Amino acid sequence: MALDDPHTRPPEPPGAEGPRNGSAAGDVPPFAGDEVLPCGRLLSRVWEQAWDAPPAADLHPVSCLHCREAVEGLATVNAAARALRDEDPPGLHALADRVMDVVRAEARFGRLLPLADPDWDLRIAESAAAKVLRQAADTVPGSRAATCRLIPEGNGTDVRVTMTLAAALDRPLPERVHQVRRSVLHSAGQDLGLTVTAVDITVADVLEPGPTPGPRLPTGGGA
Amino acid sequence: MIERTASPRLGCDLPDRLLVVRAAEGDEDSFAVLVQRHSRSLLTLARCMLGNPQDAEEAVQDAFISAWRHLPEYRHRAEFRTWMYRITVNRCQTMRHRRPPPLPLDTVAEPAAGDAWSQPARTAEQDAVTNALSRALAELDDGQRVCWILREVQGLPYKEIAHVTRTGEQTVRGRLFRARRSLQEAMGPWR
Amino acid sequence: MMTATGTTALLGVAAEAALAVPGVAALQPHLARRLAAAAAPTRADTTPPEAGIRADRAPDGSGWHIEVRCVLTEGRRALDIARNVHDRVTDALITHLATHAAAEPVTVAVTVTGIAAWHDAA
Repeated sequence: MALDDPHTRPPEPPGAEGPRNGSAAGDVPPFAGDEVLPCGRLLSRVWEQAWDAPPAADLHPVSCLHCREAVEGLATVNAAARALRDEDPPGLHALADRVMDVVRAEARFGRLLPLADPDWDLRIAESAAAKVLRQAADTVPGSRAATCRLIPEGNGTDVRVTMTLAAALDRPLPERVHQVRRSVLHSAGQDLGLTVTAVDITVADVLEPGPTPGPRLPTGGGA
Repeated sequence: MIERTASPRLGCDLPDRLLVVRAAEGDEDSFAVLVQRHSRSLLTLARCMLGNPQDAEEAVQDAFISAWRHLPEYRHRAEFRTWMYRITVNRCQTMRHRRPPPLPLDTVAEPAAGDAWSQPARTAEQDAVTNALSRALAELDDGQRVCWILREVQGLPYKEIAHVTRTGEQTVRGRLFRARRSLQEAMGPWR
Repeated sequence: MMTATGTTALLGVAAEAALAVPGVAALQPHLARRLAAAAAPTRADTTPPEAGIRADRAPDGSGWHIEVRCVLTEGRRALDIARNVHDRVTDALITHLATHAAAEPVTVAVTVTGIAAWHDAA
């Protein structure tokens, strides 16, 4: 029965006023080409309820022969759709490589920052420095860097770092921010050789505990 | 003493929105993670929209590169996934209009040499059914095809489909219904 | 009088000196070349190492200004590597100029465009 189909359903009902009981009247006019089944239900609603909506309290479609036949009519199409979804595209790895080749060729450096040597003209691209400093922030447990900008200050080699973080809430935020600041300052001196006058940190996001889901094709429940 | 964890070099544990922010500032490694995460579903989408794997790869490649270039302007109004779907759909539609009608999806695609992907075991009849579906898909009106693929193959909720296609949910539902009817009719002999 | 060959030789001298510095992974290829390479992708990197070095006559005509753009490896402080690059390139150019032409002042600027992880290093 289609209601048990592991195919995903959206978390919200199909439409703002979508009739849950499939009555032909409802608040929304039927679609062009819609059909009223002998039991009085709209074909479009029966289909939506079978595959697009969360399981409803409405038991009519379970027992009604007309509704079940209507749902069965699309079984082949939907099975073929699942087959398409489950195919492994063979060109995946090569595609990712080609994309990254172009991306690395179009690298964005950002502004140039002075390294801490007043005598010579030694500079580092903002994106290169930011990457190292983000890593320093990331090594603090419960902290992940988001933005990281570097701005020259004054006439000499001073640099100001401005960073936003995603932080977990299992420890007081000020303590975490303090740790991140120390880590960033340490890395700026140790790994890069930048004269950092200040590290402005804003916690802009919450870090969820547990593994972070990447989007994958949903197999059940809300998308 | 600063407490440290091992450096999480690859960022695979970061949510999309953090990766996007980093990539917008030029962090290529973060963008590489996004490419890994999303390329499979985008490639599936493009294959359904265009009907052949080569065009699909080109479309998805173009979409990612376009995303890289426009990341600094991306304002997070939509989720990254939604944004990528939109770019890919638009790219596919542009390509479709410039090219002759697509060939049916070759569902017995040859794996590339040395490629680790394998095809799920399938019967000849299943291949024939999927081929019939691809042909039927090619006959659909553009808007209906997109809505149907995003709903049935990608599993997106109406709301997200509406964002991707820049229409309203009612429009999505109407197109989805008409697509379902047309496909049911076209696949009639296969029931 | 410096000929075109002389300029090319300068670029080569600078590149060789920079690449010999421990901690330098590669020179940053010129942007135009990288885009061209990306348009016709081949696995082999055929960009000559001189790409990433720029040599200009000083505005008042006295001497040369060289810019070195390089990618470093991790493990050493970027500042220290950059200093070494500056010093070695300067020395190599001064020696080259003194040997093959009249001695001229040379200023060298170094820009670090990236820091590669160990597994990324070319």
